[in-house]
This record gives sequence, C-alpha cells and structure tokens, in this order.
Amino acid sequence: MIKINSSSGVSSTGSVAAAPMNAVMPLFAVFAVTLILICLSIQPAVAEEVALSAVQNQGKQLAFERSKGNCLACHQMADGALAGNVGPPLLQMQARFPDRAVLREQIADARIRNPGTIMPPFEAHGILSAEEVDAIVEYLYAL
Amino acid sequence: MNLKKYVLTSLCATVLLGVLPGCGDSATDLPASDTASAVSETGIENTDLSQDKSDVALNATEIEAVLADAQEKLQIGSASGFGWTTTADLLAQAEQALEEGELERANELSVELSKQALASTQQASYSDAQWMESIPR
Amino acid sequence: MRTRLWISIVGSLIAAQCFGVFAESSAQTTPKAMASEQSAAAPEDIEAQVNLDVEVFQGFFAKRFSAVEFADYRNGVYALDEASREQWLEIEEFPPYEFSVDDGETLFETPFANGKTYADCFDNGGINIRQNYPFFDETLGEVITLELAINRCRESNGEQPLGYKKGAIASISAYMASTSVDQLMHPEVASDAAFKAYNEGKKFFYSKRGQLNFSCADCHMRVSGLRLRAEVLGPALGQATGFPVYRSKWMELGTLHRRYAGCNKNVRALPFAAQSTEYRNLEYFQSVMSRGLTINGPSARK
Repeated sequence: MIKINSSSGVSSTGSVAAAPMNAVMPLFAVFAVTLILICLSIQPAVAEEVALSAVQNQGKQLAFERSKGNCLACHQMADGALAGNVGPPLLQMQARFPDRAVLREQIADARIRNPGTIMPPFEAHGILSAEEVDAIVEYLYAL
Repeated sequence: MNLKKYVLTSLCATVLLGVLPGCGDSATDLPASDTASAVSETGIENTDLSQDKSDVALNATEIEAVLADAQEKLQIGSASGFGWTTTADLLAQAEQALEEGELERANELSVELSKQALASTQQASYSDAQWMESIPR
Repeated sequence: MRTRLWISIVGSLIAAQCFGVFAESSAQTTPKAMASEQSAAAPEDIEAQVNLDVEVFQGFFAKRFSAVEFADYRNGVYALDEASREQWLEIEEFPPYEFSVDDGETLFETPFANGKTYADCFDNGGINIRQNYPFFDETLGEVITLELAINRCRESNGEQPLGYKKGAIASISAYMASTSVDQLMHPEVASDAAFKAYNEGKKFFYSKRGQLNFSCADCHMRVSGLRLRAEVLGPALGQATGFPVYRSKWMELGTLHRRYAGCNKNVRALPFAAQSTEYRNLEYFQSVMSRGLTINGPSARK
C-alpha cells in the first residue's frame, strides 16, 4: 500500500496503488472489518446525541454547506457524509479547545497561531461573517 | 485471483453488516436543515447592524466614499493578479442597495466589500514577498 | 453504550495522531535551493538552479509516495488512488476522447484557404513533437505552448484564431499529442529571459490566491493524496503531461489552461485568460518540474 510520507506534518496514510494484488487482499479485509466496527460503535453515539439548540443547528448547516464553511471538505465531523481527510477529524472539541476563543480564532483566521497553515481564514477573508463563525463554534462545542 | 470479485464481496458484506444495525440511517435522524434555515443565503444580511447602528445617521455620500475606496483597492488586487471572484457581486449589490435607498444594507455590503478588497491586496503583497512559504519542505 | 462511544473516539484520536494529522508545523524555513534567484546568472548557474529545483520537487513526491513509480506520475491522481485508478482504466478501454482525436486529425490535415496546412508550421510535419512544448522562444522572448503555436500557425496563414479552452483547438492538440505518446518531456531553461519566465511560473505556483487562500502547491503538493470530500487531490508532478483531457465533469475535451482557470475559480480567485503570460509561464514551470516524464495526452480525467 502507499504510505504518504510527509515532512510538513500534515499527512495520513494514502490508498492503495501499484502494489502487488496479493498484498492488497488482506487490506480490504481489514478495511471491511474496520468499517463494520466503526459503524457499530458510532451508531449508538448518533442515537444518543443530544438535541442541538437552534444556534447549534444553524452552525451545523453552515459547517456542512459547500458555499459556506464547507468544513466537511477537509474534516470528518459527526454524521457528515463523504468527509475529506485533509485536516484532523472534529471531535471532542471542548476537550481539545478548552478556551473557546482559541477555537474561534482557529476558524476566523488560523494564520494567527500558525502562519504556515493551509486552512482558509474564514472570517478574515469574509468567507463567513462573525455571526456565522460564532454559530459554528457553538456547533463544534457540541461535538 | 479475481481482485474485483474480492473487493465487491467484502464491500457488500460491509454494507450489509453496516446497514443491519442502522448504520445507514444517519441522514435521516438529524433535523438540522429544517431548523437552521434562519441563516440567510448570503449570510450577511442577518446581522444586527441595522439595530446597532440605528442611532448613527447613515448617509449615502459616506457610503459612496467607502465604495470608491473599496474599488480602488480592488483594482490594486486585480492589477497584481490577486482579484477574487466574490467582489464583483458584492459591489453590484452594494450599488443597487444604494440606488434603492436601502442605506443600512448598502453600508453593510460596502463594509464587507472593503474588507475583502483589503484582504485581497494583503494577499497580493504577502504572496509577492512570501510565496516561498508555500514550498513544502 | 457510552464506553463504546469513548472507545471509538479515543481510537480515532490515536489513529489521527499516528497519521500525524494534528501536527501542522508552523516553522517554515525555506530551503535555499528553492528560493527564487533573479537574473544575470550564467547559463550553467541557471541550469544548476533549475536542476536543483527539479530534484527538490520530484524528491518531495518520491518521499511522500514512496511506492509510486516515477513514470506513473503522468497518470495524475490515478498513480495514487487504486479505487479511482480502476474506474479510470475501464474508461480508457473505450476512450471518450477518441472521436475528438479523429476530428483533430481531420482538422489538422484540412488545408487552409491558402492551400497550406498545419504540417507546414511545425517541425517534422507536426507529428511526434508534443514533447517539445512548451518551450521558451529566445527570439520572441516568451513561452510558446502547443495551443499558442497552433493559433499562430493559423494566423500566419490568414485564418482566424481558435478559442483556447475547448473545441477545435483541444481536438487538434489532442491529435498532435496522440502522435507523441511516450515521448520524453525535457524543457530547457537556457537563458536569463527563460529563467525569468520560469521563475514567474514558479512564483505563481507557490502563491496563495483567492478568497480561500490556497496556492497550487498547498493542494497538489502539501496535502496531495488526501481527500477533499470524496476526491483525492492529485500530485502536481506530471500535471502537464496528459493534456488535453476529456473530463467527465466537462463531458468534453479541454485544454490545460481551461483547467487552470477552473482551479483558480475553485479557490475563488479571478482566473487569467487562457494563453495569458501568467498561465504560459505556469505551464512552463510545471513542465520543467515534470522533466523525465513522458507524454500521455490526451487522457481521461474525472
């Protein structure tokens, strides 16, 4: 299988290519089993999910919408379908960002803390308004 | 061995096993989109600027000045090859709002336009001086 | 239930940590090798600098995708992603660009009003020469791409130029590429003026653009091979070898500069005109970075 080796620090394992077929077989088995396990473990979580408040729902819609936050393009989050893997999955956000202002700034303009980031500066570039960023923070804190 | 058959079988198994415990219904169990419609299409008209600024007398001349300034910045951004696709529409909307006498909306849009115009010129100068920061190591 | 949830969360976090997705290093030091050097350099110095750039660029991909054969990069994202590669190979069984290549051949062979043909404008009658484009024309002082040469050929024979993004020009370019498959691409940078054009293309490639603030390199180097929604981001290495392409999204053949404009618009940047100096310099830089790969245009892409 192809491993994406990265020195820039943003990396993940890639997919399979140009490998001998017999080396690929067990991978699919592993892949299948992993998928099943993920399904089994996530399902109860979704079922138990606390109802979102109005503003959290608004934030969720903004986070999923392609012309808005489009967070799913790069991040896995909750029940979002076909999420990308360019950035880290968005879970346990309160634990990871105990300071709400830091999380907010990460969305508004991630360059402030990390000049080398490739995350778009959502508020600084007017991709989202200040109110929209606030709503997304509310939603992320529910994850 | 037939790789395709193998893949299909394992995928089918995955899907079947996944669907059985209800894995597939994630799309149906969250009413998010129903309740979240409060967010506007453009995302900029739902702000409370109109209330906050109701005591500030908006006048068309000032807004025109803001727009003129924004257009100047836009030209700098475009001339250096760093124009954005989002600004033409904002400008048109702002001008229309101004024409229709919707000063609050015109003001909001022109402020947003100024912000984006400035950001695009900043991006142009950042890229001019620090483009090599994008070279991955 | 809770326990299972926690296990899945902790497991995912550990997995994500292992893959290194959280560590976005901020300390960016620019390798001297890739820094732009400007003008007044001896030809051998220019060649040394360009060679070093190529080495660093190709080395990046060799390290990132250690299992991918160098020659396979001409196949774009299909060099990286097995699932899409299989679909692609099936599409290539009955190539969707086949009719366009036939059209292109007919157009190529049809004489202009003055009785001359495209063959009169090109070396070797225009056959098996795709690999020689783009090149830096020392007399004209600019990068000449194949599509530009096609239109200049038309104009020098009293014909109207064709639109640069699709249609007849893409078909003619596709036919010409099809006669050059497997030929080695090795564009030279042999003068100060050429080096200047090359450096402008390089600067374009690494400059952040548009409201979304992405450079070409951000997506097609730094996070290449990862997924944007369901799409795997293709590697920048080899991006110029397979054009023109039949894109499923377009449902027709299109040129490299059409794709450039699409990419710019995706990041919400105002695109440049096809065959503008900016895009030609970018194509030149990208082609130099792909030195050593072979022509495989036209090809099918998603």
